Amino acid sequence: MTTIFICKKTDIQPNGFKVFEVDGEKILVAQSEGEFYAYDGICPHQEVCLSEGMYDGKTFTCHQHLWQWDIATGEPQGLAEAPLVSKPIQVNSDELHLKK
Amino acid sequence: MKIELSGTGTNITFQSPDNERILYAGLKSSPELPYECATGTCGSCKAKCIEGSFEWAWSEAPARKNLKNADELLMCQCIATSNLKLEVKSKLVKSALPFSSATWMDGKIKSFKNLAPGVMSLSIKLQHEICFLPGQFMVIEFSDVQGGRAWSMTNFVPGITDCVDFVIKMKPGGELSNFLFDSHGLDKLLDQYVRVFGPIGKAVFDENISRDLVCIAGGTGIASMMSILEAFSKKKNSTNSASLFFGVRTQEDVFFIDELTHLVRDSAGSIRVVIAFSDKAGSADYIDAHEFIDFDHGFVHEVAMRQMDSWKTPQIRAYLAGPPPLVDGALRALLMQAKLPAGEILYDKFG
Repeated sequence: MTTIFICKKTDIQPNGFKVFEVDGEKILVAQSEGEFYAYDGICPHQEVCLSEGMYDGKTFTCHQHLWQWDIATGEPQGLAEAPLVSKPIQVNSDELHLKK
Repeated sequence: MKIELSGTGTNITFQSPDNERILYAGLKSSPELPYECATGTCGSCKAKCIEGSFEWAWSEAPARKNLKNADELLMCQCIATSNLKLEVKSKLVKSALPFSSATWMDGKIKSFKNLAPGVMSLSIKLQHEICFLPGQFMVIEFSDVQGGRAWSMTNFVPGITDCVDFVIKMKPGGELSNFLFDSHGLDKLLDQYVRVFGPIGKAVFDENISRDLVCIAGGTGIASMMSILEAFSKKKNSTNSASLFFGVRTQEDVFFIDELTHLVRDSAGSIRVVIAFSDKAGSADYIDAHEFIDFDHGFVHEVAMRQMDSWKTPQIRAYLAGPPPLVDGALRALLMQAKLPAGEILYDKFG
């Protein structure tokens, strides 16, 4: 298994998120109650980048058609019909890495 | 041509005549097709071609820039050149609402009026009667102008009608604006024939939903709200309220104020209208002259949020219309601040 650097922990605000380009992939990283979660950064609906999405620390919303997901599980909520695709990460003392 | 469209375990099959855009062919029988603007800007009707061939009716459609592969298409801007198998990434579910079949028809411009700087109303008499839902729109094509324009109806008639009213904003440099707002164009406007497709649009008023309405509109986005409020005012035995937040830059940009005044005055307190000036606040004389209307200062979605503290947000259904920055700002505020469920925020994206 190899790992690729995504970001520093401090790059993600508490209850915030960012989308990073990692090895040619968009990776959504969100923090919720001190835990980090990573998903494919492309919406499973119309394949738009989720960087303009909305996040309140628990629920992530795609800005395009308001599909929503529970950030802790990636499971769809409300209008969404498909889950977010989870990405395996390794969390070190101050960095996040994508597992390949 | 036969079009087979599949989406997450659901399927629709329809025929598409020669030279007809795929979405328009489908909407004649299947209003559940995924779409919003129907004019090439929002990308909501994106599909993947699994089998068959197609060509672009408007290859410069703005939403095309978001397509990644040559086998992707916008159904509203593409024409089938063989039988097609298409795929979309959402369920194709029939609505419980009584959407009418959309169709092409001729129409004739019966009247027009300047409402405010760069804004005019237009009434079109249709070749035959239609039944539309409040909040819907039609695509209008002028013979001298390339492409169609999506305009929301401002009127609402329960049952059928052959008269549809619109409000149009001048877009500097726009081909249709140059034609409509040019004084020579105005002379030619009356009795001019247009080609009309509709009624279409899913952000509609549902009289069976018992929720308070919050309508947030900027500029000519007020069009669909006029129709929705008209329908709301006709709803019998309702205990719900409706609040319209109408954003314009200055008092000189306000239009429909007489119509809004009548709606509030005749509503026995159930309809409230707040006009938000984003640029210069209204003068004391202007505000005093309109006792049935409330006024505030700021961006309209921020004004709506300020006044939302006392609202029972779980019981609200919101309608949004206007320039994309306003709709995006209102969406964020309603979801993040007001915590409205996403399914209770209705809008058709036009950008």
